[in-house]
Amino acid sequence: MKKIAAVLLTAVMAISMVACGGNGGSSTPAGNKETKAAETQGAQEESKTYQFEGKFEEQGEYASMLNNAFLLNLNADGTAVCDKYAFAKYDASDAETNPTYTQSYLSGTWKAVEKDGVPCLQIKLSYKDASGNESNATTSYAYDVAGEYSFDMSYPVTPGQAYTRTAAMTGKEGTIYADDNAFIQAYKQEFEAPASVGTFVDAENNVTAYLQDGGVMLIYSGYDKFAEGKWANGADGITITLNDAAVEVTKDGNAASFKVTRTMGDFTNEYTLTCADVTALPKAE
Amino acid sequence: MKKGSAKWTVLTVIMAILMVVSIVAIPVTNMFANAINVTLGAKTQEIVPEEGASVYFVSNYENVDDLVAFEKQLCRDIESEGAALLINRENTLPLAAGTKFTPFSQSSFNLLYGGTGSGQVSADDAITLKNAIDTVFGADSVNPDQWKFYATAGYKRVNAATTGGNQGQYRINEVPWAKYTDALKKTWANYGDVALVVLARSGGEGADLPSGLPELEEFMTDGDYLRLCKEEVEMFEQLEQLKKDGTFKKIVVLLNSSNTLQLDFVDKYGIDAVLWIGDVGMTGALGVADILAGNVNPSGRIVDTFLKDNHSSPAMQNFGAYDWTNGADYGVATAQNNTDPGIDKCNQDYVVYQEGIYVGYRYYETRYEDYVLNQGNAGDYVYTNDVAFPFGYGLSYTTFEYSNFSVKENQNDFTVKVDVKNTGSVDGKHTVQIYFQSPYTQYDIDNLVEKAAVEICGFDKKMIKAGDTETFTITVEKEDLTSYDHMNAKTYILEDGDYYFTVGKNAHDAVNNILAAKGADASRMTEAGNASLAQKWTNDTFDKTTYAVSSVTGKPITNLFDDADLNKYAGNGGQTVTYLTRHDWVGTFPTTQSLHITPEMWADGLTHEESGRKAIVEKMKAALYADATMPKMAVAGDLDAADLAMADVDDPRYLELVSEIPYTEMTNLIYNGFHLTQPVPSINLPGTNDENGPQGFTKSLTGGASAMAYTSEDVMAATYNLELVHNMGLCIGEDFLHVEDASGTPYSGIYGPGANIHRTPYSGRNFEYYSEDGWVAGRISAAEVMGIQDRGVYVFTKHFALNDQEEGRYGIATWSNEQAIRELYLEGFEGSIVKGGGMGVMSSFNRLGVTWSGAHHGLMTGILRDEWGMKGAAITDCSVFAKYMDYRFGVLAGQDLWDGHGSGMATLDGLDNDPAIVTGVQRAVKNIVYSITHSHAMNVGKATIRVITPWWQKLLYTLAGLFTLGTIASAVMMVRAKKAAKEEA
Repeated sequence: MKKIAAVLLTAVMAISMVACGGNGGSSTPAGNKETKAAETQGAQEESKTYQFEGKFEEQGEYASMLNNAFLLNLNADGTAVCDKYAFAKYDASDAETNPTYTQSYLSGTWKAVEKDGVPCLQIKLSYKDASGNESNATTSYAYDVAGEYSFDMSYPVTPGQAYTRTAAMTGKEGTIYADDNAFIQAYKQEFEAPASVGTFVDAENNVTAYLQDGGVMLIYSGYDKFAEGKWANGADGITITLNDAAVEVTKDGNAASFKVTRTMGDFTNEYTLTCADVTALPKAE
Repeated sequence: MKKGSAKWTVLTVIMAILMVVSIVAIPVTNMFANAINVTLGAKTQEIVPEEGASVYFVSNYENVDDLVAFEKQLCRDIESEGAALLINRENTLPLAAGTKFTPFSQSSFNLLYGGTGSGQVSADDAITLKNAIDTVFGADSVNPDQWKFYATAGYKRVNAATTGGNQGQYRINEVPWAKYTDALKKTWANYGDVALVVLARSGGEGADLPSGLPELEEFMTDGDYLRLCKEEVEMFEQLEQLKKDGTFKKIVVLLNSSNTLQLDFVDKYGIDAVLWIGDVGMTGALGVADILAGNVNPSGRIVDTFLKDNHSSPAMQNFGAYDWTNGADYGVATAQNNTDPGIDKCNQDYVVYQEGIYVGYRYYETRYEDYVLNQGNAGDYVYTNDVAFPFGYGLSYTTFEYSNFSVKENQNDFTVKVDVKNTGSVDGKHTVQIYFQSPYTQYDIDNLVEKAAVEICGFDKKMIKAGDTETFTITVEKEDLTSYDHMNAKTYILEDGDYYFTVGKNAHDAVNNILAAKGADASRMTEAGNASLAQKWTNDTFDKTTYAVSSVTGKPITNLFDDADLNKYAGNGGQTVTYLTRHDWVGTFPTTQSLHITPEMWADGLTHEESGRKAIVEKMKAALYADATMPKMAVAGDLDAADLAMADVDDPRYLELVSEIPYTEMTNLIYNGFHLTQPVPSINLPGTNDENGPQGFTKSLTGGASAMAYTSEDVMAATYNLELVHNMGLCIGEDFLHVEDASGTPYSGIYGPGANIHRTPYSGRNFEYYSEDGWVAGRISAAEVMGIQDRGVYVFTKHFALNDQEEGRYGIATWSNEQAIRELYLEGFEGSIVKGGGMGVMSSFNRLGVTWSGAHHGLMTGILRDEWGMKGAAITDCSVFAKYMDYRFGVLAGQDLWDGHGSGMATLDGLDNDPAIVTGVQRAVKNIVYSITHSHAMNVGKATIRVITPWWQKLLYTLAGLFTLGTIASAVMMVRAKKAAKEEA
């Protein structure tokens, strides 16, 4: 029985490691990153290496889905490997275990060529899924402009589809970043909570309502803003409005709380947000 | 021992937590399953084709290499036939063999192949300008030092981002003259035959081009992207001097843009030739070189009016996104993209098409005619101050003469004939353009029916050898001469009075011919017309019945867009608009409109409150589905989708087929159409992939084997060669036939072509639209759509309708009158569907009046089904997070499929007991099934469609199971350890 349990537990742990390990791979210095590509096209001996960086960023409530930074390594063996870091998810942990860091999101080959008589770097990248199926292949050319190279990299937001975005990549010979983690540190973002004169919090569920000067209330679940309403602190005490309807505020001494729901499809969560001391809030009509 | 039990206790707790997390994750991720599947590219179906299945659509190319080779030539041909020669002083072009070129402008290196956004094309394998010229003129024809200079100078155009972008991001970034070194200048004389200047302006999805942004004034003249910037001006000034000095013999300009530059400079700077080339696609640069070399005689005719003053048009007075003055009171949002805050709220913007029908040449030529005839308060209108090149303009390397122009009336159409002689020494293709003029009468004045001085109503193109004469015979349908009377007859009318037909080299030439025929004062005309090329037809009878019924369906035609006309909308709160009229040009010339939201507007469509939306739903049900009865669902049956493959749209088996489908399968299909359709297991309908776009199905975006990036749509239209466009459509269809994804799911639907019009030069997506003229757009799109669908690919012609700008597109309230809507903005789509048999459309982001297009019953059912007889599916534009594209509104109005995921807005859930909703849902499903069953997705026959659990769900289930087992196992071990410890103690 003991042995069976132990075997089961070992299997569970092993499978969990594989499932959670992302693309795995050892942490190698960025300049010597191995390609994860199933094949290299026309791989050749190249003594030089290059490294590029770039990002796509837009502002918007759900922009974290699209905002990415890219680290592209052109390796000495002619392989090209591009990692993707979803910096707008505010996770700057180690690249090896960071769920927002995707190693080898795109991969392919590169070589020095002459295009129309001008020396440049030809960079071929594509997305390869777990089965090795290739999609979203691109060929780009980067020219030496006073030691800096640049090109626009089209990458798939949705692999296999024409739903793409373009990241402006710049780079140079050698390295910009010593390794993946240095890249992460360069692009990491710190979540900036909105300016507020007070808050209501559901600590257990990491939901916060920020009361702003001017009567605007912003409600966040983690880093995602999911609701916007109004607040006031007048003669009758604190009042909260959501979707143009007054929300019941429960008072308990100096503390006050209200409930808010967040619906995603059929799934609805209700949160209870509490302010420990509403008397500390500024008067605002 | 204690340690042992503690160890198992900890392990049990960890296992239990992991078990709970994984179990909870299952329903949570199920909510977003479709989004996750799309993001991960997870396989969700397995198609096991029927053995010996009928193959309905077979590629005409056994060898993909042959297809690729054909397409490369085709793109080159389209460019060489679409590019329009505008200026050719002293026969500068064609250029002799051995000509040496020095390219100028960083755009000569960064040639524009297409726009950005969903219609983008891959320039990876595109032929560069240098490559093209060296290929055609011989190696070393292009100054290599200059080429290398541009490659390494670090100057490049910048476009606005597709989402989250704004006009302020655009940059021209021309190289300053000071950057040209003395060493470089010394190379020019060796390549001094031609200074080849490329002026490129890029457009794209998500943002219009800046037309006067103060913050851009340091980068572009007056903050206007379509004017020469100071670096370009300096470049031309220097080139002019260099030409005088003898360094360069000729200056040739290539206009590389689908957004027409302001051409106030072409008569300056010693410019010898100007060739408009649009966006050239993958191999179009070779077509440009062919023209320069004389290998091809240019025959393109521009499909827009090219202006000296881009701001002169009446449409420019109301172009942009205008904020409701009281929007803050309603909590409206600034959302411009799916990811912007407030995408679920009402958009803060509106726009008023105050110009009515007077867009493009309809304005310029009509006001010109009225000036000549001294009527309509035309004022001191100087046509040549505004217009550089009229609609339809294009030169050739030869000359043509017209004679024997005749028009013969038949019952339903006219036969128009003209002889065309090639009077030059070079063979060349020629496009004959037929225009007509409808009488502008007192009835029109009294009933606000506007009439353009000319409208194009027929064209044909032929090759004519030097010295030869060809007779062109063109049929003009009487239906195309009608006008829409939205005030009195409320339908299409063919008025009594004098009509004129003419053959014109362009729209302005056409007007001059008619003016000459009328005996107008020649002193007020820009040039004498040719009265012999105009013929009058007198219609004796005012006809308001013949064209009051659809020629396709026989159903009556009457006003459907009163709610989009501010003057007729009952809830306008007293706000009205004075439409531009040719009865009083000066008095009614548009001014910027200022509007506020009224409570009625809010209740009728702008509301973003659920209570408000529910009220709209109830109103729609009462108005449209009062007699609805509950349809049957999930009925046991034997029909499969394949049984209806290629079936007639009225086949009664569709009803039986759809009734077999359970409600949740139907809503799953409707909700989740983001670049695909879901499989429907109950009827074995395979899922499909759908993809962009208007310039073709571009391989590098999806990894297909072939796939060509063609020219911009305006170049396609400027060919006026329907056979060429049809061939392109066939090839686009072939490209789709040659691609499938990893699961074997075919690509069987295209989001395209685009059929909106060029209302102004500044719309970001002009490269995806054919012309400023909707009728031309309709003819061209028909040819393209017929080709695409011939290969088993259903189309979604987009964006239906009145999506003529990018600013504020997410829900902007667009106000226009019905005459303009029908005669301009719907014509391109009508051609696609009625003439081309187009199965589907993509509805637009914007509102018509206060009603989102997909929720507008008049648009989605009245026009599409009742008048035009469209048979397939209408999809939305990207609906992700866009709650204003409410499913309930849409299915009740005639919208079928949503280009998004249901997550967060699944408003049809739980309504399976609502007869109106279920009726709408079944209708939507039937339309979607029709499209799919008339595509090459049916090549699998009565396939077995197995819906499979995607790998990530399998993994989740496995982990949940393993963690459960692990919890049990470690709990057992914990109990045993504690027991053992107790016994020991």
